[in-house]
Order: sequence, then structure tokens, then C-alpha cells
Amino acid sequence: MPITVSWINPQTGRRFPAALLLILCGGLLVSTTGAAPYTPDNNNTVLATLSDSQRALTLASPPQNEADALRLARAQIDYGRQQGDPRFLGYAQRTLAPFSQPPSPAVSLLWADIEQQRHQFTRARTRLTRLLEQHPNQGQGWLMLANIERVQGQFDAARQACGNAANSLPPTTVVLCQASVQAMTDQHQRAYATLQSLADSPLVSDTTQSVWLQTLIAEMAIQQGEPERAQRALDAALALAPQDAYLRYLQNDLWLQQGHPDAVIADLKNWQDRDNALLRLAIAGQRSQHPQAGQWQQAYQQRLDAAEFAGRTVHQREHARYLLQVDPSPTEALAVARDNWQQQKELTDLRLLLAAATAADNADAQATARDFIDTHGVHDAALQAHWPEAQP
Amino acid sequence: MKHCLILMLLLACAPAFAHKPSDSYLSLNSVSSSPQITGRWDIALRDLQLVIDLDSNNDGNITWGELRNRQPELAQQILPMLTVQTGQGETAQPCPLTLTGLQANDHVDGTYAALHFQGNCPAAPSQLGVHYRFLFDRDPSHHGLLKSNHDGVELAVTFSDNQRRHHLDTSGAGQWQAFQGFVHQGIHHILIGYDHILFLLTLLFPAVLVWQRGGWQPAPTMHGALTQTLAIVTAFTVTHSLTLALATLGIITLPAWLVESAIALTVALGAAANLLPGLFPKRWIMAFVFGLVHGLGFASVLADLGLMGDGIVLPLLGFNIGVELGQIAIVLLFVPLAYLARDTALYKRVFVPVGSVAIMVLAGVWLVERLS
Repeated sequence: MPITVSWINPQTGRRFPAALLLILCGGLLVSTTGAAPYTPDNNNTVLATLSDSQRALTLASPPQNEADALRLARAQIDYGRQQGDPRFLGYAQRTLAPFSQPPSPAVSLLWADIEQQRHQFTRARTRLTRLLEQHPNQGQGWLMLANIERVQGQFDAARQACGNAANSLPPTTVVLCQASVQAMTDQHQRAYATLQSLADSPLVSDTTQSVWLQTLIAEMAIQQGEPERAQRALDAALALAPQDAYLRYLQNDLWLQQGHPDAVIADLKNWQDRDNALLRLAIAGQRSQHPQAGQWQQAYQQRLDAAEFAGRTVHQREHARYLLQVDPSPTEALAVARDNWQQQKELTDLRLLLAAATAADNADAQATARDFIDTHGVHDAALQAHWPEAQP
Repeated sequence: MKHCLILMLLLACAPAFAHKPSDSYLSLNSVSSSPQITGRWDIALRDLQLVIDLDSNNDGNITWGELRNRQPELAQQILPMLTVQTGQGETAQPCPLTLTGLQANDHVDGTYAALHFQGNCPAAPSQLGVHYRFLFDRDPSHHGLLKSNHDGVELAVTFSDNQRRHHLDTSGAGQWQAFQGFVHQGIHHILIGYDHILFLLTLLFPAVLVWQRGGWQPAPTMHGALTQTLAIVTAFTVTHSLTLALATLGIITLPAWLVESAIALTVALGAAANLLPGLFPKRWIMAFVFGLVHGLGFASVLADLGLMGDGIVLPLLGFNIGVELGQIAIVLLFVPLAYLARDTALYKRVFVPVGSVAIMVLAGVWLVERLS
């Protein structure tokens, strides 16, 4: 049991000196997973609260027909993504299990979605490729495949997958798909212009498509070093989808970049149960010397420890960022950023790799990043800040 | 469908997951000298809820009372999803598990039910097979994280849907490794046993001082301070080792509440002695007498590990050495600092008296808690 007693002596107002010693000794303690168990002193003590959606999405009896199963699994996956709660992927897996021998195209797509969310990219790619060989009109499958290829830096394959979706999806969707890939290549200027004119046209009226469009514009504006333009796009997107976790994190990262840690703390204080929010709170708290900064950092560190204890490595991107920005440890950060780079090659990952390589002064990793930038013609203001000569 | 499609693409790989995935934490303690195994299984209430409906009044909250009312289901439905057996293959024999207690435990992602259990193997286990079947039919991504401790040697394995059985091969752990394990346990337990630390420190506060003319004076020589320290530590060690051995061998048995209360009392008396040094001139005698009580406290740790009775000379010795090593570390940390500070008013007039009063109050609180 870790000792953290440190009470004030009522007579003297001094901190109890022995407590300091105890804390010293406490530092020597071996920490174990989970504190000591306890017996609550009251039967009415609330130990856990179940949300309505949670109860609705964890039915005792699984759906008996495929249509119901698809609806439930879709809802479970979406809720899990929205809440950042991986248990719901497991529930969806179970919902789909009875309809997976062999799976219909719709079931396959949901399986691929679960797999890619777990960063099992190879499995998801194999599954999608096999599906699309037999059902080339599954536009959604092409979009998912394009996304996986893009995340893994296979931009030619990604563009081809976007193109294949054109047979079954509306042209605006295909344009958005292509632009998301071009953003990482020397086509970024053209893609940025296309997106802006698309935003000014009446072609995109569907809410979710508009959110996607504005999100891409915001990301590309950040990439171009136009924070005000990015903020406008973010405002537009957040007006349509205020609770969207991805957008919220993008907004908070922009605030961090622009030196507004207080805005981050105000926005994410109620999201502390989510790792991604906790990481940003730890960064913002440290920068603004917030009284809770240490607490957020410790909480995030505990999450990392718990993941490590369970042998999970899905958090590499965030882990690298933590080691760069919260608890600086360049060598370790570089090791994690490199492992992450094997899995994911989005702009965020490239920025982390380069930042870690620079911090650790590692020429080899710098060359890896440089090669990637040169090969694909990546343009990014943040990268240039790290490495001014990165652009021709 | 379009809604999902775009949202999916938009968010696909970006955020790594926030909440922790579903894990349960399992610990299993066994020794090759006893057929009894003990353990604890921490299960997230959210996960438990999938198997047994804990929210009896359906208000969306799981209370301690609701959890407690489900003890029969925990014993009959949940615990059987874990089976432990000793031996291997055809010679394997089950160690039936029984629920011995229920508590709550807070992990990083919320409150868990802590199931204490005990198992009786037909023979003292040399090798344990564990079969884990909890929750996989509701959440195939669930994991069970097991830490086992056999003769003080720790082993960690993970159960998953595809790996539901593990064989804990303890034969590779030689006696030396087991011995080291116990030394480690001993160090660990003196360092986390704050009442023992506090008792020792309380006695050592004035070891660098001498009581003269109604006030504390700094010990004139290093030699004097060292002699006092050595006398106190040796006396404490001799007697607590004695009762630790006697209790572990089953020669003395006292109820835990009595031992724990007596320990709290020794801490309070030790602090009182610092305030009334005239009444307690020989501190080593106090260490000698009260060491008897603290040894019984250490023994309860070994008992918690399932170590009692015959064939435990080696674990006992290792554990005792560990306790002494931890104790030496504390002394080496404290005494030089105290020696350097002994001449300051802060040490003599604030640290010793105020610290002693505070410790006395704290120990008084423990005493009341432990007696109630």
C-alpha cells in the first residue's frame, strides 16, 4: 500500500515531519497493479454507473437474424468509437460471430472495421481484398481499403482503391477519398484547392460529408501553416458534429499549437476517462502550470503502465507523444515513434518520428523521415519548423 | 449507411482507444509444502454485469449492497469459470475453489469486484494448470492477467479467447530462485509495513541524542550514536525473528486483530517514550520487548502467502533476511541524516517532540480502528 499521508499538525500548522520521511520511504515502494481491495462501509456506496446506451447495447440474448445483428454490431462499433471504449468492439465481435461462417459482404465489412480499429491492418487488408475480388461493387469496402493503404503510406494503392470506389459511390465521396491521399503527396496544393472550391459549391449538402470535407480542409490548412483558415473549417465542422471525438482532438491540438492550453483544459476536463483527452490535458496542464497537471500526467502514465502490463501496444502514437511532450525521454520516444512508424504513416506519425529523431539526435531516423518526405513530396509547416530545409 | 461510411472513414485509424480494454486481474499463491492455494480475482463491475445482473433495482447504479447480495451467484456462476488443477495430463487432479470473501478494488479504469478464494488440492501442488473461461462468450476480446506466486517465485501469464489454458511450470524455479523470491518478499513487506517502519524510526529519533538536564543534547560522538542505534536494531531483530519463527511454525497462534492492535500500541508507546525519556531510559529494552509483537505481525504476511507449518525453514529464513535488509536500508537512510541534523534546534525541539506527538496520535487512531 503506497503511503501518501501528509497531514498538517493542527497545533503548529507545520507539515508533520515524519510524514515526509514516510513519503521518502514510500518512494521505495514497489507499485502493484490495482490498489489494495477494501470493504465499502455503506451498502449504498455506488461502485459503478451504467449508461443507458451501454445497457441497450449489451443485450443478454444476441440477435437471431443477420439484419438485427448487423444493426446492433454497427451501433456497438460506432458507440465504442464515439466513447473511445474498446470493449464495444468485443461485443460487436460476439454479435457477428454466429453470422460469420462464412460471412456475407456486410458482415465482412464490419469485421474489417473492427480489425482496422484494433490496428490489425494486415488482417483487415486481406479480408477486404478477398471481399472486393468477389464483390467489386462494395464501395464502402474500397473506401476502407483506401484508408488502410493511406495510413500505411501506400499512396498509389490508396489512390487506386479510391478510384475503384467510383463505380458504386457518388463522385464527391471519391473526390474526398482522393484528396485525403493527395494531402500526403506533392499533389497537396491541388487537393487543397479542390476541397476549398467543393466547400464553396452546393455539391456537398449531406451533413456527414460536410463534416468530412471541413475536417480535411482544417487538417490541410494546418499542414499549410494557415491556422486561422483551419479554425474556420473546424468551427464549421464542429457546428455540425459537436461531440465528434476526432474533431475535438483536432481542435485541441490546434489550440495547443497556438498556445492556448487553457482552452484545452476547459474543453476536455469532463473527458478524463478517455486516454486521448487525458494526454492532451497532461500537455496543456504542464504548459499552463495548472494545479492538476501532475495528477493528469500520473493518470496517463498509469494507463500506459496498465496497457503494458496487459501486453497491448495500440497506443504507440500517443505513447511517443507523451515521451516527447510530457515526460521527455528522447531515446525512449524515438524507439516508440519508430515502432509506431512501422504501423502507421500519417502526417502525425511523420511529425512524431522527425521530432523524436531530432530530439535524440539520431541521423538514421532522420534519414528515414527525410526519405519518406522526398519520395512522396510531403509538405507540412510543422515539419518545416523542425527541419527548415525539408522542403525544396 | 452513408452516414456510417463517412464517419468510419473519417475516424478510422486516428484515435487509439481511450477506455481500457476488458481485463481481469488474477493472483494465485501456492507453496510446495501445502495443498492449499489462495488467490484473488479482480473483475471489472462492467464485465461482471454482462454475466450477472448486478443492478437489482435497475437504477443504473451498482452499489456495494447490490454486489454483496450477489455473493451466491459469484460463488456458483463466476468462480467455476476458473479451474485450477495440480499435476499434468492423466495425473491431473482438480483443486476445488471456494469463495472466501468479497471486497471492492479501484483500478485505473473504475471499480472492480475483488473475489478472494481458496483452493484445496489433493496434494501439495508442484505444477499448476489453470483453465480460464470467464466472459469470452460475451466479449471475445477480454483478457485475464494472472500473476502467480509459487514458493515466492512470480510468474505472469495472460489468458485470452484463443489461449484459455496455461500450465504454470514451477519446476524450473530452483530453490535458490525461490529463496531469492522470499528475500524479496521480506524487503517488500518491511517497506510497505508502515507501522513497523514507524516503530523503528520512533525508537531511532533520539538515538543521536542524549537526555541530560531535562533536555535533549546531541550525542557527543559518532560512536555513542552508533552504539545506541546498533543496540536498538539488534534487540528488535532478535525478538521479532524469534516470534516470526514461532508463529510461522505454528507454535504461537494469536488472532490477527490482537496482534495488529498490539502493534499499534507499541508504536504509540514508543512515541510516548520520546516525550517522557526519563521514564524509559533504556530504549533497547523497549525494542527487545516490542519486537516480540512485531514478529507476530510479520508472520501474518507469510501466512497470507499460504506459508505455515512444516518444510518452510528456507522461505522463513529468506523472508527474515529480506526483512533485515529492508530494515538496514531504512536505518542507513535515516541515522546519518539524523546524526547530521542532531545539533539543530529543528531536530531536537521540533522534529523529535512534534513528530512523536503526531506518531502517537496516528498510532492511537490505528489502535481504535483495529480494536473496533
